[in-house]
Amino acid sequence: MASARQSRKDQLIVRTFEAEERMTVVLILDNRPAMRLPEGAEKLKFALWAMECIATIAAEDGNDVVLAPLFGQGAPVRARGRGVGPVARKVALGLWSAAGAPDFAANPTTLTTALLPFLRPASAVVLLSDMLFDDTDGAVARLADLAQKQRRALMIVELDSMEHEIARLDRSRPARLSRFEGRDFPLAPVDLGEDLFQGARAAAQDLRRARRAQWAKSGLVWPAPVVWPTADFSLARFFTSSFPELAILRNLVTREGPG
Amino acid sequence: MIALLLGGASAFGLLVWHMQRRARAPVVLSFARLLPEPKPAARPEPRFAPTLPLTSIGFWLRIAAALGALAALLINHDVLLAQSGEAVALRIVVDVTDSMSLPEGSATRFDAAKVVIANVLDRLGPNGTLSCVEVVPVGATIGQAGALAALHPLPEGGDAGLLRATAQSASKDCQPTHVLVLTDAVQPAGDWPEGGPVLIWHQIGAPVANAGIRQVTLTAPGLSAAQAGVNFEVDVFGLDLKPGLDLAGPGGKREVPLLPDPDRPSVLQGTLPLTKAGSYLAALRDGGAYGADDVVAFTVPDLPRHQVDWRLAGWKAPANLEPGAGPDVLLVAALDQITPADLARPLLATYDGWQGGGQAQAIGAFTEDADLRAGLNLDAFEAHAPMPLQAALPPGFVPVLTDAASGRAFAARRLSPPGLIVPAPVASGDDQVTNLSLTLFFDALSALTSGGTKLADSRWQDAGGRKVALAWKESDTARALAPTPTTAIEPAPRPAKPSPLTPYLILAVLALILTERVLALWPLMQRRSRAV
Repeated sequence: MASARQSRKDQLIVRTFEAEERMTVVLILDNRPAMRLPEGAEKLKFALWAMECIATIAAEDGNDVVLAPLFGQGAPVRARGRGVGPVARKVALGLWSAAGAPDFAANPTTLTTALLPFLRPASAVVLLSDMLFDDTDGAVARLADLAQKQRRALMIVELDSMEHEIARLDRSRPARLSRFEGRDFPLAPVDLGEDLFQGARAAAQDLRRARRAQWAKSGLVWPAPVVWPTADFSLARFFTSSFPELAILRNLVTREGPG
Repeated sequence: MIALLLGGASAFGLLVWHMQRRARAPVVLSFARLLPEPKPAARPEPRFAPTLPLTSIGFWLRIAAALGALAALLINHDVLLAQSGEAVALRIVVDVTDSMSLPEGSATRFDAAKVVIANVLDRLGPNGTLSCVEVVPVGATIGQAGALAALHPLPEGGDAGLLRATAQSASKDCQPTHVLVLTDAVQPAGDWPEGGPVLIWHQIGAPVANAGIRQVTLTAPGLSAAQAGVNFEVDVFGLDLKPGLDLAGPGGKREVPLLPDPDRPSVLQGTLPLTKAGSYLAALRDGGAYGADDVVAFTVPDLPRHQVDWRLAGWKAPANLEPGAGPDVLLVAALDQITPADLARPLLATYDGWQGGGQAQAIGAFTEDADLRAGLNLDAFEAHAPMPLQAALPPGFVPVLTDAASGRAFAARRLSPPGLIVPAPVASGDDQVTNLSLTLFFDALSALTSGGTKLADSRWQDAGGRKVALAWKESDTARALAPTPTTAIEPAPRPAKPSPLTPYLILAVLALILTERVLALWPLMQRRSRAV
């Protein structure tokens, strides 16, 4: 490969290759209040644990790590080497304990604005989310597009607790539905019939399919979701067993592109 | 009743509260944004649903709290709290009745008691074994515990029973290990409670002879007495006392002849006829060492008398009985002329038993009735018996003399209001019948008009006019003096201390409420405490 730089024949030149540079792994965490569900087996908790583990693995590989929330005013945090573990822990605690009781009625759509400068070349971006957020204005799609430019990889860790939440519901009695992410429901109790949840399943499937199609570029790695068991379970044990099976780990460690 | 109502209302309220179907907390789903439009519930849920919350821990905790609160409201009871260590907790019960002011040596009995107390406290104080002292004065009533220096004998009489009861009573501030009683009275007989404080009964005062007026009663005129009278009882304690009694009043000053009571040698009795109402003063001469029981003032507002509502045809009321009317006046009438309202009055009712003369009849069951049978010869009665009462006895009357053949009553008695039913008196040709009928009838009349003795409103005082309430209780100054007690006051295990139960009940209720709240909020607390 010839250098673009002009020089004489007796002069030494330095050739650099992108793959040999120290990589920056950007871990973006979906911090919507919805991620604090289901109660007792929160997706956010799984995502924070996963964020800490992935950050530690990336740091041991000699990479810089950037930790950032997807929504809101939180600033991304950069760390490297041995500092990654404590920083990741601090960021996780900060995100978990932020803002008291979650406001499920709010529908966060504002992206963390300071995130974009961190997506420097040769980065891998990992997004931890249930992928059910509202992206009507396409802001997250643009972020996904930017994250895949110049052969960068965008890896999705999708967390799916829908069937678990349905299984845990007491559907024997009518119930009121709480206002959620800008969606209003009748004030009177409603029947929690199967048709209601079939509709939700179909809508979620359509949303993910459309999102996958919209985001699909050369760097998208979107493996099968981590699915919450329907029976009662321990989130810690579930994390212990399912984290090593995350498909993105292989991509991250071997720096493979999308398979 | 109030407790039952409150308890029932609490239990019912709790049941209703538990029967409520509470609205469910709104359901929160992380994918709720994607739900289709839900349909309103087909059937709204009723507010209440029958349920028996026997398996609910919260229900039982609330029931227990309600019952505990109810108990705290209604129960006024002490519990005994054990105390550790040994000490002397001393209660000093001081007799402050009037006889304690009698001379004792160069001072008084009360001064002698104070010297004893000072000596006891001196012995106990320096060792530091005295944990508390309580001085309780006892006169006619139990006084407030207080400082010994502020105490002095009171112008009133008392009795040893109250001293003993005070010695035995519990105390919240100083539950005693030892009780020292200082009095001139004799220690009452009776067992001291086992396990109770050590009782030291220290009697003070050398015996001195005394006589005192014990009581003054008034007697109404009746069949046996033509005039009202005033009666005196004088107690004489000690030998060589020969008291005399004078009565001054509207009729001038008269000496009351005193004679010994045949049944009670130490008691003298005297009676004077009373012809005028007014204020009287009875005074003993040679009344002995204690003067406050020698003079009694009393007032007779009206001369006592017996009235009778006499409706018996053919017989006149005895002259000693005044005619009268009213619900409390004795009615004498034939039984078949008595109205139901008359039955509520004191009553002497007659029936025609001897109208046909007497006949030989055996006496059946009878009860010992001294008033009726005192003058009656039962042999003569059986030989000339009247017809028994054919009608049913009025309510409250029971037979006292019955016919053996028929079991019917010849005579019947009621206790309250007093009443008697006897055959009507006759003046027939048969003397035996006449005598028997008159005896039985006038015995009955005498029995119903003899209860005319009542206590005069008496006020005791000494020769100088100093009034002493219940002074007759102080008269026995000649009783034997018990030896000085030798029991040493040594430290003993502290007795259990009585403490009101109510604060513990309230504490238990608060603990129950706290437990119930913690259990109710436990899931929420667990949720809050989960860390990432």
